[in-house]
Amino acid sequence: MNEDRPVRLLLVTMTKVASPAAATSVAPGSDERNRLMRDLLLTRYNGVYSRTISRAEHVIHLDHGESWRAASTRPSRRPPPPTRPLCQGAAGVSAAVYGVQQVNSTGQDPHFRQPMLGPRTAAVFSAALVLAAASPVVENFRDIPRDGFPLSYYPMFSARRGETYIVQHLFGLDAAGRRSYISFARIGSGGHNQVRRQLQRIVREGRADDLCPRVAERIASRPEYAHVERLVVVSAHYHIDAWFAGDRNPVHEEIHGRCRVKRAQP
Amino acid sequence: MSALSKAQLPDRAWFASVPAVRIAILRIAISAYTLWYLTTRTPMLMRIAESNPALFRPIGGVTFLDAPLPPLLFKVVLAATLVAGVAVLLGWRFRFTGPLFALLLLITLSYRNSWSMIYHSHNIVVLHVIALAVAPASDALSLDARRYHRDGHERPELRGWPYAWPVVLISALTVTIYWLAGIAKIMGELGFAWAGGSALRGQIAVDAIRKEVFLKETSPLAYVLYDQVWLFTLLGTVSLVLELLAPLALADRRLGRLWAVQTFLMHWGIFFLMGIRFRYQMAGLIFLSFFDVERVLAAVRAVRARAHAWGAGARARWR
Repeated sequence: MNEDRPVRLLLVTMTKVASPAAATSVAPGSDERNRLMRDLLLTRYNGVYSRTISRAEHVIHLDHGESWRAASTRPSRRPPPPTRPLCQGAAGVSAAVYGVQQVNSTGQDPHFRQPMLGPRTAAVFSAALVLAAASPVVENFRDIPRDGFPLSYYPMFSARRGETYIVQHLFGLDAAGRRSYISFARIGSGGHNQVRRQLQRIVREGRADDLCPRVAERIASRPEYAHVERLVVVSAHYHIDAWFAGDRNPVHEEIHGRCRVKRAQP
Repeated sequence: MSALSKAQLPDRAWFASVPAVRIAILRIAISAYTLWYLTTRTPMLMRIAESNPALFRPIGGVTFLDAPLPPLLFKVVLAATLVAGVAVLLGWRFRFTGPLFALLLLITLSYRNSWSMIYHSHNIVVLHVIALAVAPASDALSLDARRYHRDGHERPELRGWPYAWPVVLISALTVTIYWLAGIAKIMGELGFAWAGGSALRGQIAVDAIRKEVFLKETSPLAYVLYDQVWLFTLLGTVSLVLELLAPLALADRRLGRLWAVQTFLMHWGIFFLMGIRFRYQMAGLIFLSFFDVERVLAAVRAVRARAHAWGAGARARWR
C-alpha cells in the first residue's frame, strides 16, 4: 500500500448512529475523534466489497499520520471516481477498511491486522475448496466408484437392500452346542463397522483360519466367554423380516474357519 | 428485488461485514470438538495403528505411504495434532498453528480411516478445519487478539468482510456434503424411489442385525418401528429433500437456519432409530455457521453485567 497516498473510504447508506458530523465535532487528532470515526467505519460500514458505490453518502478521507476528516466538512482534494469498484483495492480501500493501519502517527494501528487472504484470493480459495468437496460426485457415474477421505461421495444408506442380509461374524459354542456372539472389540481394533469390514476382507482373502485362534486367545481369559469352548467364523445369511419377527437363525451359513478355545488348566 | 440488490447478492453473503467474534466462536467450537474427539479416542487410535499391516489401505492425506507408520511415529503425529489443536483453541500464533493443525488433522484422520473402513462422520470436520486455517479466526477471543490489544487501547468491535467469507465457506462445505449424499442416493439402484422409505427401512434393519451379531448396543426403536412402513416413507422423503435441496440453504439466511434445524433433527432421528451417533452433527456444531453465534456471547456478557450490577447494588444496600 502506498503510504503517502490518502486512503479513501466510502460509506454506504444504512447508518443509524455515529454520523460523520458527530465525529467532526470533536477536535481532530483526539482519541475521542479517532474512536468515533473508527466506530463509524467499522461498526456501520457494510459496503466494503460492494460492486457499486452509487449509494455512497459520505466520503471520508484518512490522511496518513494525522486524523480523520469527513468530506461533509472539508471538500475532497481528490474525489474518488464514482463508478470505480471498491473490490479493486485501489488506494488500499478494502485493506484500509479492514486494516485501517494508516490512521495514527506510528502508521500502525495495533487493533487491526491485514487478513491472510485478500478478497480475490479468498474467493478463489473458497471456490476451489467447495469444488474439491463436490468433486467426488463423479464417482456416481463410474462402474466401480471409489470412496475417499476427506473427499467422499457419501454412499452410505444409498444401497438397495434385499430380503436377506449376509454378514461375516464369529460365534462361540458351549459344551451343549449353544451359540453366543463374539464382541467386535475382541475380534479386531477400531469401531464395530471397521472390525466388520476387516473381517469381511479377512474372509474374502481366505485368512479366517488365521484369525480364529487369535480371537480364541483373546477371549480365553475373559469371564463373559468362560462358557465358550469353540469358535466359528461364518458368512451368515439372515432373513430380515424373520429376524425382526424374532427368528435369529440364519437361513444359510458358510463356515470359513473354526478353532478351540484353549485355557490353562487350574 | 431490485436489479441493484440482485447484483450485490453474492457479495452480501460472502463479503458482508460481520463481527470477528463469529468466526472466532467457530474456531473455538470446532477445535474443542476435534480435541475432545481425538483425546477420548487416543487408546483406540493407538490400537488401530498397531493393527495387522495387511489391513492397511492408505487414503486421503496418507496415500503417499507404502506401509503403516511405526506406532511410535503415529503417536508423535497424534501428539503434535493435539498440541496444534490446543494452540488453535486458544488462538495462539494462529497464522502458523491454524494451517499446521489442518494438515496434521488431515493426516491423523486419514490414517485412522486407512484400515479397511472409511467413516463418513468426520470428513466435514477436516474440511471445516481447512476452511478455518486461512481465516482470520484469531482476531477475537484469542491469545493473538490479547497480544494485539496489550497496549491498552480501547478494544473496538472488530467487523469486516474477512470474517464473513470463512463462515459462508463453512456453510457451503456443509451443504455440499449433504447434497452429495442426496445425489449418491438418487444415482443408486433405487433412484428417486429411495424416497419411498424401503431403502431406509432396509438400512436400519441391516444395521440392527450387524450390531446384534457384533454385540454392539442396538436401538430398541428399530424393532418397535420396523413394521411402520409409512414412517419410513415419511423419513425417506424428508431426508432426501433435505439433502438434495441443501444448497438452497445458502440462498437465504432464514432458509439456511430452517434447513440447519431440520437437518439437526434428522441426525437425532437417525440416532434414535439406528443408534448411530454423528456426534459433530448431533452436537449442532456443523450447523453453527448458519447462525449469529456471537449473540450467545453477547447474551452471556449481558447476564454477567446484570449479575455484576445486582451484586454491586446488593453490596451497597448491605453497607
